[in-house]
Amino acid sequence: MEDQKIVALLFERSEQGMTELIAKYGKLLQGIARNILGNALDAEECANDTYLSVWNAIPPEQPRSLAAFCCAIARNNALSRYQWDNAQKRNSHYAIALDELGESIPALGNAESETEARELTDGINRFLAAQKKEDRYLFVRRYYFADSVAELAAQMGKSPHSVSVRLFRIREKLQKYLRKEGLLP
Amino acid sequence: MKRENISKILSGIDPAFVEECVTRPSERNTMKHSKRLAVLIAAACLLVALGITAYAAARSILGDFWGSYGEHLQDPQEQRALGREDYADWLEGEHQMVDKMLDIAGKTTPQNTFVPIEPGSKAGITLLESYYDGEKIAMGCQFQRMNLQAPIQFDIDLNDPAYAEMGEMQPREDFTEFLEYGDNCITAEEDRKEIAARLKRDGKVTFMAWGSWLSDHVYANGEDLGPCHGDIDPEGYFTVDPMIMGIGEVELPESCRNLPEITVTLNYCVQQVVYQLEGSTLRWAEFPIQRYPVNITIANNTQPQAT
Repeated sequence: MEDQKIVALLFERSEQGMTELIAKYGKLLQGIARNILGNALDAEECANDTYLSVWNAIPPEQPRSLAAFCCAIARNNALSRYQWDNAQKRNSHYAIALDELGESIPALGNAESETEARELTDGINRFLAAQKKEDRYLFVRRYYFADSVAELAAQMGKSPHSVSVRLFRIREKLQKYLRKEGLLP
Repeated sequence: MKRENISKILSGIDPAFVEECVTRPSERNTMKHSKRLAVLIAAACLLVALGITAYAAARSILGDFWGSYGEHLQDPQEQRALGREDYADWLEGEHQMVDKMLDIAGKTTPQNTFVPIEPGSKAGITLLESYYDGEKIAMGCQFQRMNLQAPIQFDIDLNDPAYAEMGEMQPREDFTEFLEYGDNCITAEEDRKEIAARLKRDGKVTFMAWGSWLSDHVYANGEDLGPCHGDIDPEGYFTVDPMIMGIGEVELPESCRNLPEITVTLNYCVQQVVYQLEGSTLRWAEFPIQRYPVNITIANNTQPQAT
């Protein structure tokens, strides 16, 4: 079913809307949660929380992109469950992905103020806008959706090694770009 | 906090990009199945032809290594990707890659240049063949291990100042495997025999050996190309990985393109390790890793050489 129809059903408070949303995006949302939490049971609970959040949010929200809206909620729900006090443990794809990015561009981890973080986010968005679609896909799937390198390799039909290298090159380019923009020391 | 900060930054990724990435880019999947199959069959036939030509013409490391990957792809027992929905696309892509690799393997320039890690050293890398056409590079090399020049030292005195930088002795649980197969530092059968004989004779043996390996990252004219050399085989042969040196999916950085020659740097890592076997226990201690950049310059095959 098209997203617009799902949103219309949710506006009518029809449970059919939720059924359609789960059928269309359930796997994706659960995947995001599993990547971040590293645990299938927690991921399932997190996905259920996400459905409830979406149900509560629409209406009044009328998202321009239902997929991005649901992904953001799933990601935020998973992150709030994420045990930051276990920060030293690399127990999920997400922790590994964040460390990977942090090791390549250490300054990202030091951006503590809201303003700094927002400027870097804007810089990353401008960088992504200028990239080839496939590179943008790799970056977003790896660092936003927290897909593992092996999953990305399978999705793209490439070897894990070539995906790793490509991600490495993208991180290098991003660092150069952010430096050039004056956003990194 | 570090991860939390990065996570906060990433949370603001433009929803348009997130939406774009909900479904994967699938340019290749737009091919009709029949066309895919035809290309697949054609690629497989071409691969066989190229494979035979490459082996018949001359044995080269690149031809051997890359050709064996092509043969591996044709093995009906090769099931690793059969569970994938896009198996035909994947296989087609791999065959096309092998075609490109074998094409390059047939155009390499034979070399025989040994680059030591230090003047006079027996440890280093020998360049055996090379290829650079301004857009792509490839190399076949042999790794000369550090233990060629520095054999195992028995009867060492750990109180000697030379061992001041040694780390703490740590237990290892692979006593039996170590005696049978050795490890990165103990590669020769005669060394393993000597260690076993001394252990049997004295009940304890302490010795120092050298480990050496290549750092994953390869540099071209100072640019980090990423981890891009293949595994080193037991005889030390390895290739610069074909997937990312401009041959496959990732291009060489612009600063490395269309030059008369290019300098490739591999980082040779060396480490001293002390082992102590006593009864049926194994302990070891490592020294700090020393890194030696090994620079190998290769000429552009497509440009006339100065005489």
